[in-house]
Amino acid sequence: MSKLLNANFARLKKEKVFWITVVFMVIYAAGVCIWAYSRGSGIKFDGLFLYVYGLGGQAAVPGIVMAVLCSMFIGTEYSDGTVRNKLVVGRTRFEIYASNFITCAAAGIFLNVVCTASICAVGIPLFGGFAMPAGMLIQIIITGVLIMVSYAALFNMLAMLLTNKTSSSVLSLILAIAVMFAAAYMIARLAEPEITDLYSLVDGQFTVETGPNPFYIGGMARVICQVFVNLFPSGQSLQLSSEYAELNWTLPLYSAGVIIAANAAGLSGFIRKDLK
Amino acid sequence: MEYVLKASRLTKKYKNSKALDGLTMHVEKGAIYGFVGKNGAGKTTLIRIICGLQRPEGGEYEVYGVKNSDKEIIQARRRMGAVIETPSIYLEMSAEENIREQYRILGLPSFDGISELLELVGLAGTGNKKAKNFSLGMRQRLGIAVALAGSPDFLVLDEPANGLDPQGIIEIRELILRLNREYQITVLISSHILDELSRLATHYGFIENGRIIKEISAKELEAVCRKCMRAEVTSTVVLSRVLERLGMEYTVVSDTQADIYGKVSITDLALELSKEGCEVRSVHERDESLESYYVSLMGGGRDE
Repeated sequence: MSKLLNANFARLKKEKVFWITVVFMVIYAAGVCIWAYSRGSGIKFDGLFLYVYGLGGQAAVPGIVMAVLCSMFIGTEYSDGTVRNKLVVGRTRFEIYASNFITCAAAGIFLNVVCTASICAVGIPLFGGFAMPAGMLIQIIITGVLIMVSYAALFNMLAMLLTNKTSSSVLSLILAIAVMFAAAYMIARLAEPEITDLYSLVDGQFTVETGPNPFYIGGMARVICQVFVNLFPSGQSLQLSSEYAELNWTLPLYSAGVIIAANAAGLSGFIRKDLK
Repeated sequence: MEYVLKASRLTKKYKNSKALDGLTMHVEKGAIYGFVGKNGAGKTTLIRIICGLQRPEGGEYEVYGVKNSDKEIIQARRRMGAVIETPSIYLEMSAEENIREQYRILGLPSFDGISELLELVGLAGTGNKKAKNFSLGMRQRLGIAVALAGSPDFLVLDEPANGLDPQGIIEIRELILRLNREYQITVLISSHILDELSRLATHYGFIENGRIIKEISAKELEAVCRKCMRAEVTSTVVLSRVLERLGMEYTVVSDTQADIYGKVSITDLALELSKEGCEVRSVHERDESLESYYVSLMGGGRDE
């Protein structure tokens, strides 16, 4: 396994897409800081730190970046046929799958570190330092790291099972975007208050009454929506970014579940798969 | 007899079609085994299976005496190198970077020997040129270099001459011969180019519909081919009857012509035919090529 990891990391260092994503994360983090500073309102650095996870709850940017990186990096193994070189010389399918996951996860963590470092480097001089307690900060960082590892597990699974670089790239992107939109919608609905002001027009006059919010999701539907946005890393990113998430260990536990389930499913499929 | 590869009653299905249907074959140590068959006969499927890319549904195979069901097959495969269909190389890397990558996969302690390997395959002067800018022949040679990175004892090449120009074909042929003669590497090579294969192979395996229908050494083939006679008679029906009676192997070419294999006394044959009213018009020895042997083996009249 260490040999395959050594080979993968050597290849990752030469991978153009990887360096493009690194530069993108730096520009993205710096751009968010500069944009916030240009607005001139009293933004706190803590809020800004959370904002980058999902562009203030609007777009899970790290998910899209990871979809591109994982599908391109792993897809090359199939498009260039080099996965065969590993199997022919006696590397096991478990070793190949696990080393690819670890490489993608490490790349994701590195991107997370680059983004965090960039936002601190640009943001702290502009907005001051962290105001939140260290324990909470560590919890957010762990949640963020696990989100990147979840992305790696999901996109590695897709790339290893689809075996076609174009298909896996397109499908990973579509899924990342579709889940992101679904999660953004659900988070917005979940954030709706149960009771709200209801405006109505009677005899040409607006009247305001307090009553049940028609956009509020209750009962089992609320539970399902909450599980959905907790389960997928895009949902977690958007929750962190829009400061909707309750900062406890729920999200890291969901991430751990996704990582285990995606790797188990992907490995089980890859072990049975006929390769060409 | 020491075998590098033994396959026994291998079966493999793709959806409804049988790619391998009880295939049995033997590759001797030190041989260049020419694997001959039509498109879709099962050559690449067999190669994919022995390289661990696919699993057989039935039967078994042994690599260096280790059965595919044994855990040790992983170690046995470390003595193999393969180029399956297209060369497995990173197109965005140079030749040297590709071999370095394979060294890492193999876990070799140093990068010593890379320049010698590039020299061996004739890619020493390619520098930083990326593999995507290589010609097909250069890619094929780089694929072989990657396969040779672990100093394998057994090299599997699937259609290595496909798409190459005449110069490329000669270069690959010379490389394979050199690897076999100087480095004692056993080679399993599948090819459609029978003339090219006949210049290389020491043994042949003919495959049709997922089964090996004949395994023969080049010496045996030569012997069989030399003993082939083309006889022209007034009736091949009578000739067939007489040859059957004499226990001779033959192939009917037309109503009046047939190829007779093995030693035959022309006088005895002419006398036997004369008794049944059949006249011998001509008999001449034929130096049968691999191609004609293949055609006669496969039943003749069909495209390769």
